[in-house]
Amino acid sequence: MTEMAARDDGRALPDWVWGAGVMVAMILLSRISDVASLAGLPIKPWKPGGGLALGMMMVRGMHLLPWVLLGQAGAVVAASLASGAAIAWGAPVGAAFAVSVGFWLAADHLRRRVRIDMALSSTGDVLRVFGVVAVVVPVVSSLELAAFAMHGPVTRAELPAAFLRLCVGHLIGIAVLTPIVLRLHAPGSLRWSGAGRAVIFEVAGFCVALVIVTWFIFGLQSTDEFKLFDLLFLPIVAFAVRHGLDGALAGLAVTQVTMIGWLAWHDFPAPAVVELQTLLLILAATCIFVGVVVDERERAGAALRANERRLRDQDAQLARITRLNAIGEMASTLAHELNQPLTAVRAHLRAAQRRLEADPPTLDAARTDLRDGVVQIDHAAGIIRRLREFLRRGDPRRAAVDAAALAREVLTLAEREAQRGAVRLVLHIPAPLPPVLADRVEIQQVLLNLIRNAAEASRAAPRDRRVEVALTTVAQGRAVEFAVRDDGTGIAPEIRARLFAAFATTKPHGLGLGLAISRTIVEAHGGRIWLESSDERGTEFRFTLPVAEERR
Amino acid sequence: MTGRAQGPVFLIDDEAGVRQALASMLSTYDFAVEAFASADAFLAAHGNVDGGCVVADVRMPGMSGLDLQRELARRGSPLPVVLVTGHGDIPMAVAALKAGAQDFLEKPVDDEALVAAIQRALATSARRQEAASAVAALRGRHARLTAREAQVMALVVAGHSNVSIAGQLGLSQRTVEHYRAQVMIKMEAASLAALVQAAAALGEAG
Repeated sequence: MTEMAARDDGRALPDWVWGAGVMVAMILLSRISDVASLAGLPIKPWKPGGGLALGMMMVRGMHLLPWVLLGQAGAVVAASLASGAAIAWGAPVGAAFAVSVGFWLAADHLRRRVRIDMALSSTGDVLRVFGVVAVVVPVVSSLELAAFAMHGPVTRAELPAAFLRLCVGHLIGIAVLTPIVLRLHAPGSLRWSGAGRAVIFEVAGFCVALVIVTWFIFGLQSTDEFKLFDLLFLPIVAFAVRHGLDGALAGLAVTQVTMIGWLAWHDFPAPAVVELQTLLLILAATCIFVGVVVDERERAGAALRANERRLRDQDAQLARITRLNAIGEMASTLAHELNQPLTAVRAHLRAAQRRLEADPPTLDAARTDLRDGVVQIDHAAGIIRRLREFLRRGDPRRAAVDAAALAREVLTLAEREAQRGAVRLVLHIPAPLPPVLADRVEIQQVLLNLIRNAAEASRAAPRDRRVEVALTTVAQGRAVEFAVRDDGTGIAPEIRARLFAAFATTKPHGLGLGLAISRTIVEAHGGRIWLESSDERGTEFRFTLPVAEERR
Repeated sequence: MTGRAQGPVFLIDDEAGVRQALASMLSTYDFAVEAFASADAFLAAHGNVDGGCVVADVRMPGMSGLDLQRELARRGSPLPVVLVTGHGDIPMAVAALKAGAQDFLEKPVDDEALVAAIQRALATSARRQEAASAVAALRGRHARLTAREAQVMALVVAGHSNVSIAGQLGLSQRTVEHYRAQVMIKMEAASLAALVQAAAALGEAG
């Protein structure tokens, strides 16, 4: 959160601040990367300034060009001042123009023509950046070299080596720095923003490992044959595999800095440095692609999982609606089925009554009516018996159920709905519970129903909205008690009396069957359900379930 | 109990138990009840009967009570229909009453409400029957008129004077007077107003 805010503040900075920052950074980078340079000029196998400028112009806009120009020229001047080499003023200006305008064009092309995704979220984006860079870098390098050659400091014999050095320097600079700039700038897409401690430790571990491996490779050898260079692939590719593009870039940056530091410290011969940087370039390309592919896979996997989750939610929703419809349909069918015999019974009784009251009474006919009425009552009783059998559907499926796990599942189910009303669900299980003998699905229904009612009641509360569910062992360990508390405004006294009767409801769209069905279920389990308390501070329902007998 | 059978009441319900019970109950109110298990069975037996009333369940397999109501209206039957339903709703009741149902009752029906509805229906039926027989009588009288008398009657009812009628038909005024007297006798009309009423009833009935 604070990170995001900080970045947003950064965005609001005026452009000249960014420009000046880029300029200063370019000069500083040029100074610290001053390794194996040629004739005291910025002709060297690591030129991070270009990579930084390219990245910044891509994300901040093309108007950074003057600052880039100044930074580039400043870097050349600073390099020659530091080495004491005397160069004509044309060389830094020409070189600065070549580099700045070249990368400016590249950035413009990538931004406006190719329109790459600045967060580098697909291999396609990375390929396009590399493609444009592969064309621009040789051109820029030749022009830069021409500027130096024209104004003296580079001799004809040095040209091929100098060209190679410039190309490699720019390429490695871009490979390491440009993606880092783009990734840092992409809002919220940085992998580690808001990551847990374990992830941070792992990233730090990878960085330390890379430093150690780099020092190991160079520390062990006194020659310029870096046969152990390939050892670097292992940790850096692993970093990329574990942490995607961001991992690859962090690993590359650490490796590059460590390597250049070592090489500068020990004053390695320039050709060896160029060779090493070429190797590092291959390493960079490899792990950047690995990183992007890993990112793509992860995103696809996440999208798939999100899709599955949504489908599952929809299924649950559908099941709920279907169940409600089924209840409605059943109630309607039942009403019709019972209405018929009721109609008949009423008619027969009225007929019998009238026949007996008549003068003279017609006893035989009255008897027939009464007999037929009884037949109709039996018919109605049969309907109710069939319904009971349908509801019971054979033997109840009872098993030893972990009450705590059941409660947790139900809370997970109810969570989303509760969140919508800004109601918090809290589960208390103070002590381990014995398993209960229950039909898992039925008891889940009962608990879910109580929690939903409670969440709905709490939603009306202006205060801290929460529903507490507590599970304890009662009756000397022979039963588990479930308590569901809300902090709603309580149940009206006139409703309380017939709370568990069917069709008693306080909800505008409720059927009033929830508590009635809950009581049927709990009592069928050999348990009890009751209203523990209800006042203006809240309501508490409790029910018990017998503990499953241990089989001996 | 009046001691005199009223009706007939045609009771139509697909459920035997309900049918028997209602028939038995209605018979204690001295209605002559004829019960049918379906609307089709009733139509086959009494499709053209012109007295009594129908008590039908709305929800039945095959032709529903509402369908029967519409079919009777289509046939021009004077039988009023009382609909009874297990689960009625307001739109259904509105549709039934718009389609001309006499009454709409919910099961389990209160016998007094049902009896009252049937009595209203029978009264409607009797009124319709009376009106129908009056028109039939008028038609018989009108049939006895000669062609000339019928012509004169049409003109008289249309408000023409004897002079005007004589002119139009090319008859003497005296002759017209004679025809007019014949018309009054044959149509059994005591006055000109009565004759105009009879002509209107004939015209309405087609």
